[in-house]
Amino acid sequence: MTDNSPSLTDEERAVYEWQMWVEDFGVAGQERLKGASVLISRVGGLGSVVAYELAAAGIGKLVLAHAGNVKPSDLNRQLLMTHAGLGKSRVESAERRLKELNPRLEVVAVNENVDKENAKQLVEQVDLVVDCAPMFEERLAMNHEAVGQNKPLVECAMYDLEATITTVLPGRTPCLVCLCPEPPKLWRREFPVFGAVSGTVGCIAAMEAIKVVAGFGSTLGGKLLAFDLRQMTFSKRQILRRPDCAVCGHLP
Amino acid sequence: MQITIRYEAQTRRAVGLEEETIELVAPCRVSDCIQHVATLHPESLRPIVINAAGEIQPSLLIFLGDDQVVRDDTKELADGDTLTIMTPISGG
Repeated sequence: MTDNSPSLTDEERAVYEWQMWVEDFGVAGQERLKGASVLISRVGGLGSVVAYELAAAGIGKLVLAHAGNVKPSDLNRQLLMTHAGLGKSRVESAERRLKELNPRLEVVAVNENVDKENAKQLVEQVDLVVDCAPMFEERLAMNHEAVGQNKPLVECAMYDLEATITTVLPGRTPCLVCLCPEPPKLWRREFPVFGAVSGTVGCIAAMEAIKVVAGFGSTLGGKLLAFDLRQMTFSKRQILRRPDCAVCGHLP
Repeated sequence: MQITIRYEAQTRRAVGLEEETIELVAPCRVSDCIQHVATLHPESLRPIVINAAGEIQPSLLIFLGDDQVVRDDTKELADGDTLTIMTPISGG
């Protein structure tokens, strides 16, 4: 995303050697990852895996926003949490686990969920956002701020064995409000899901973030990837910008 | 004409089916089709897809084949079309 990327150390060249063999990524892509920062809204089932994959890939900085402490019902899918961490801060557990994997990573751990009050200053700290939050109020606040600051936003979601992902490129693709102009009234914070489902979505979302940051491949901008792991079906669907969208309708 | 309705996420759980094929009389628009499907499952599906004013819920996601359509799309369905309906889902 920036051409003022820092150069790699010998250690980094050794760690990221295999992914730098990807021809359209290479050293330049790795340097862009090193120079980039990503906000992850909640490090639960989705966000844990997004954070872990981005840390493994060599992202420079992660801002993790998630309130509260680890509960037993987190442990089927929140892979940065541990049994020993029950009752302790989720973001502290996440930071510790991420730095065990990548001690070079800068982590800003925020023991808050995203809301209308903190979204602006959280988004200001990063180049890209990955939205992994369960409540539409949080998601809409994040979408509003990401679009307003012209920051790419990877939107991931799951239910049962199904999932959807899209990437919002402000002014160029539909935003979350185009897809969902008002919070669905019947959505609840707790819903059926396996960790293997959230992990699958998290890996795809991390790959989207890496592609957007490093500038290679095709993203899910303007597309909704919908998949069903019960039947192992995947479809990539065209989605629409709403000219009357309250968040992005004014953008060219 | 025959239209296949695919249910995803909460609509699938409500109806208990991944898809069903229904018979409709042409001409039939997307909104007509969804209103009809809601009458087939009045207790389980209708509250998810139809609001108190009797309109299709603004947040309902509708796809004709692999292309999104809006709830007031005036396009007429054709025999053999597949219409997917789902509610937006979220993370966690």
